[in-house]
Amino acid sequence: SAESGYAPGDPQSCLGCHGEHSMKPAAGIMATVHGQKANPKSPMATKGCQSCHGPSATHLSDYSSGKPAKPAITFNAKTPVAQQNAVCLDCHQSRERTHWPGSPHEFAGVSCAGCHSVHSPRDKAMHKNTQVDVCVDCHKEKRAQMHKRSAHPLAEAEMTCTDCHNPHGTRGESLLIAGFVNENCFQCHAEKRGPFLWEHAPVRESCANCHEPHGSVHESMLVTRGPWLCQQCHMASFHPSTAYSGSGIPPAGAAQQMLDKNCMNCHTQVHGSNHPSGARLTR
Amino acid sequence: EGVSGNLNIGMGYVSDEAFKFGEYNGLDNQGLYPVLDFSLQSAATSRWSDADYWELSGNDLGLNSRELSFQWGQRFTAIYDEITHQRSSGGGSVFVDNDSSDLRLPANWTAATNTAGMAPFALNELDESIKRRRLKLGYQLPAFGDWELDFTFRHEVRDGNRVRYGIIGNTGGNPRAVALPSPVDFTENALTVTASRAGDGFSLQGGYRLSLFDNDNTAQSWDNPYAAIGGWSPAAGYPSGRGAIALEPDNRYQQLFTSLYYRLSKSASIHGSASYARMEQDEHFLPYTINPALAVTTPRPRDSLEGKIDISRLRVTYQHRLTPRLSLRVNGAYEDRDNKTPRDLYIYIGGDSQDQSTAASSRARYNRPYSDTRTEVDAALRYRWQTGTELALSQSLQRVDRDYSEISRMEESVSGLALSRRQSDSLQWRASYALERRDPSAYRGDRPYYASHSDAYIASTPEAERFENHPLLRKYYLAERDRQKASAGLTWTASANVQWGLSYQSTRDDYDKSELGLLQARTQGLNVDLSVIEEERFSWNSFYSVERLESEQAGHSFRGFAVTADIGNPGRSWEHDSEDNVKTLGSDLTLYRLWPKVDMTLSYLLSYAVSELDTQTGNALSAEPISPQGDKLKRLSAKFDYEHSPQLGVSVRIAHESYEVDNFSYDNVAADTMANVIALGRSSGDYSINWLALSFRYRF
Repeated sequence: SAESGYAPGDPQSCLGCHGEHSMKPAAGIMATVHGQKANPKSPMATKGCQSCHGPSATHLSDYSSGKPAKPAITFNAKTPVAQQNAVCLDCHQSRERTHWPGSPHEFAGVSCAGCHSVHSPRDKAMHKNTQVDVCVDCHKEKRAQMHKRSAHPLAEAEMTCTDCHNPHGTRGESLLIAGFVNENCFQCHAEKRGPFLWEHAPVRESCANCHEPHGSVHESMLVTRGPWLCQQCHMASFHPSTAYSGSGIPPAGAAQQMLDKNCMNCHTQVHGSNHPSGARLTR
Repeated sequence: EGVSGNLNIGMGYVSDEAFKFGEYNGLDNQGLYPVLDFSLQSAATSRWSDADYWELSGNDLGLNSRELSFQWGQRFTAIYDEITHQRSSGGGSVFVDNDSSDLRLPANWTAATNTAGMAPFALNELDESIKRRRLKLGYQLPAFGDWELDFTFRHEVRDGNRVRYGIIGNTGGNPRAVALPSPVDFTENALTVTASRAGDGFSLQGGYRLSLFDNDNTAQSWDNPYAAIGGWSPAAGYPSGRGAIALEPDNRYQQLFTSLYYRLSKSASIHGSASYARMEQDEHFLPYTINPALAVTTPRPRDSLEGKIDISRLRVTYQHRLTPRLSLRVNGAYEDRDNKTPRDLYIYIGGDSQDQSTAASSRARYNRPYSDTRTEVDAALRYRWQTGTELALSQSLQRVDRDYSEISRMEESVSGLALSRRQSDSLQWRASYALERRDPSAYRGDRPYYASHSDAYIASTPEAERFENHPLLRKYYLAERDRQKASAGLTWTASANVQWGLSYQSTRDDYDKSELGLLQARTQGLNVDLSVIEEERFSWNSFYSVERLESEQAGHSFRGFAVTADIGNPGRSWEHDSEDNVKTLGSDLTLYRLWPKVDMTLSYLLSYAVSELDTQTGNALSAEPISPQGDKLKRLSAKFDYEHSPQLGVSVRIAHESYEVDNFSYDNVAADTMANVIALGRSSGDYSINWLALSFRYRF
């Protein structure tokens, strides 16, 4: 480019120092969508590396000194996050980023480069096998949760965090893609959507009333083990209010409210029933 | 020319079969399996020319967790993936054909009124698993004037088997149950069309979403394996008695959505979104009972539900950078879930076992189409000092109005404080605290009772007994609650190669106004992680987490024939405490060029959970201790990558995994252990498995 401050020969001249085996490799970008010269929207189709890093003729001119001036814009702690993100949002404002302004990550000062590695041929945040590693780098408690006895298959890389969350912001709570807990869960569990003739009130309100989606030591990702979870809301006469203990477990006993699926040995339709005789969620 | 790619081909071996080991990863069968992965993409050189970028790849093609994807530039994506969820270990059902929606007992079945009286019976082995196959297509229209159009279509099929229980008899009185292998034959088609436009200082988005769910089996029926007992119609028992259950009905979901972002000035912006959705379900009802011998005198009030829930949402966010260091964000949100499902009186038949009663009985029930409305306002301020310190203050208020609920109105406030600091280039820390106060209106525990029973039945019940749950119970998701959340963490870059992380989080819930139900819950977690990276020599990443989850709840046992006497008897009170302790350790060590041309990765994972359960009772009741429950998973694995040349390589992966579990739900529980429930005789699923995979990589 002949524009003032821009170095010519970009990207070849940049990659001369930032090749695959250099201290600060950047050549991987050429294997990504950002490296497509044929795409008129790509950085390489316009000002090359300087499309994002700004006019950096000075950086290139004194590289032989061993400690050249920084590029105009760097994507690290030296540059204010808002300034870094403005570069990315210049092209990536729409679609999944529509809700970025005012989103929790934006307000918390998370930078795009904090999660994305655009110089890498495979951005870890965009790849199914590695995305979870990026998210748990900050959300550390989730890393242990996904190894619990009952969990969604995040540890197996059969699911990703972005199957449920949009880290760029959404219309509702907890960065959930659908915006709201139940509608998010229904994206994979549409059979539980209903509406049902006999609804279970806490189920209609939020799946998270009973389930911990990031992993639990209890079956079916329940927040507490049955029958005691059910007894936190159901204390009617006879079996719902009975005190359950070791006397209901073999060899002392065999309470049908404790063994196998406990309460759901009978109340099997806990997510709702569409049977006209299903008022007690048994049918 | 113009194409590059990878091919990874080989064989793997799993030494044993265990549902937990292969729960999601496709390694659920013992024996050999093919290893096959590949990727093809337009070569790097072509991206310097005018050619379009494309990529075709396949992963785990030899397993039932396979995935195949194709991407053409940014315009078109097609992804096909499969995943099989293994749901249980061993066991079997008493029925002849486990795959049927109409389950039949073997011809020589010997019925009795409970499992003890039945002759020894054989179990028909059951594979409880569900296979999910999903095809997802995405297309981005390059340009439509100034608009971008995105189409996403998803076709998903789930088939297999899950276990649910079928009941014969009236709940609470004389129920008998049997495990049913229940067919899963679901199909969902979902389409999303989104139009977006972005310009200088604004963006607009609008779209439509449609999801159609279809279940090929909307009912399941089964032979009753029990002989008729007192309280049942004789025809309800074996061999003439049958049971039926309604499976998940077909349903439809549609949503219109829109959002707008507008930059008001260099420092202020507004962002709004609105959506309107409708959930519908109108599956034809099953009859009150499948048994024709049972008398049905009052027909169903309708043939299908005509269920409909309309959901309207509006959210507006205003953001203002008041000074270069001070930011303000204000949110307002409104959500209305309007359940328009008709409300009628149904006189149900308890578990296909009795003649229909009258409108004056406890079995005459109204359905309750729950609706709620939420409004929320929250504001947050964040100040950034030049020194690298940040302080954030937040406050939110939410109000929820509900129908048919013990709580008609609930208000909740959340006050939060967060502080973080970049102490130096190598040390950062953060801490936060939030107090959530939930303040419901008067708790009326009998509201569901009055909303669901018929007037005639209510009139026939003594006034002092017009409730279902104990009057002192407070349901945890509705009860008054104070929640305190605290967290802290630091990251220390000890040297150019070594980074430490430490974090702690705690949540404490106090239900001070609850006498029965959940009284207190607390979760604490501590995480330590270490990363040591020596470029091109080795990397070592490890973490250790401990988590403790505690809860305390109270109950009161009472009997239907002595309600008044029992509920005031302190000897019938009980308490249950639960404490789960979970430890997780993970470590990955990669040595580059351990030997010439060989990289090695060693990994270790330990996940160890112990649950302590303790029930204490008053003197009119009794309780026995429960031994600690829990599980321990250990996995040691190694991966060797030999690079013979840039084009050719060999990969060897070895793993040993063991799993031990103590779970009273399944331990020592045979199919006939429970008197009134015929179970599957499953095991908890201990295992010790070795896994090996050898593959050759060719890069071109």
